[in-house]
Amino acid sequence: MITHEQFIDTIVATCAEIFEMMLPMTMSNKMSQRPLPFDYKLKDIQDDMIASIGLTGEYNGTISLYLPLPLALDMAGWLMEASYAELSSEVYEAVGEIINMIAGGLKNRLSSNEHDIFDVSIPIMISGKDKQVYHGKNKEYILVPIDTDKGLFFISLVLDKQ
Amino acid sequence: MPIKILVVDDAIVARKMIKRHLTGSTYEDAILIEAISAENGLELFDESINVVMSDWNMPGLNGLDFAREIRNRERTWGRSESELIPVIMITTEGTAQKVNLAKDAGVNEYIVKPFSAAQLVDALNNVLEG
Repeated sequence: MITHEQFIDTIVATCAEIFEMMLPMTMSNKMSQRPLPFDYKLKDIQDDMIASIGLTGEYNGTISLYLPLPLALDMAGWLMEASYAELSSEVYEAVGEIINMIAGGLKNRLSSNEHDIFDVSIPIMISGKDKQVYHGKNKEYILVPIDTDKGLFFISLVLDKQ
Repeated sequence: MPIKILVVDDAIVARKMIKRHLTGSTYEDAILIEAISAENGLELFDESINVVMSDWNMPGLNGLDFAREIRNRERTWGRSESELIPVIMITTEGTAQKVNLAKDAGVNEYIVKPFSAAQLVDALNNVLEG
């Protein structure tokens, strides 16, 4: 059984690796503290754009990336070597690749040699005002703030209760 | 003469990242031929290619079946094992089980996303210089 702390550590380590290899961002010193020194709820966070991937297997649920618009445009611009003023198909694709790498990193780090902990679906993107995401009943919620030099964003892991 | 690399990935981000990582390396002059799917990759794959780089998860044919397909085609060309065109898989799939499946399908080198420029160059060195 994987603990919430292990999921959080793995998500943070995966993001750190993505920043090191593919995005020119660095985590703040706060990200090395445990527990993470933030107190946010899903309903509080700025989520101009959500990128989400379904997980099925030993653990079932979703992993989602919640980005404020400026950060989504900044990340996409760097990956695509372009400049974006608004959401577009290229921004969606770039952010989709980021959540793909986060979900993949979680899977690769937590799977054993014998079997994969879960399979991942293709990413879906959600944007627009006043959106509500309903995850259903009997879920465990793990919200991971990622504090960087370019701003704060969030990753949520919503899993069926074991 | 610059090498020809067939890059097969449905994500333009990934293709751009490969190009960026090669910039400034010893492979900066490589000619990148971009395929947006495995099916497109099969259309572009021919005997002039020096290296193939492929994603695993793509709509339609996946990277594993793509690798098997090009190995089959090379057999029809009469190529021996030592003459096969090297395949580097670049994917978010990184569990031991998946790496073994890829090796069985004929993949020579395996890189897990996210990846660095050094990892990409090392993989190219390994397949091209043995």
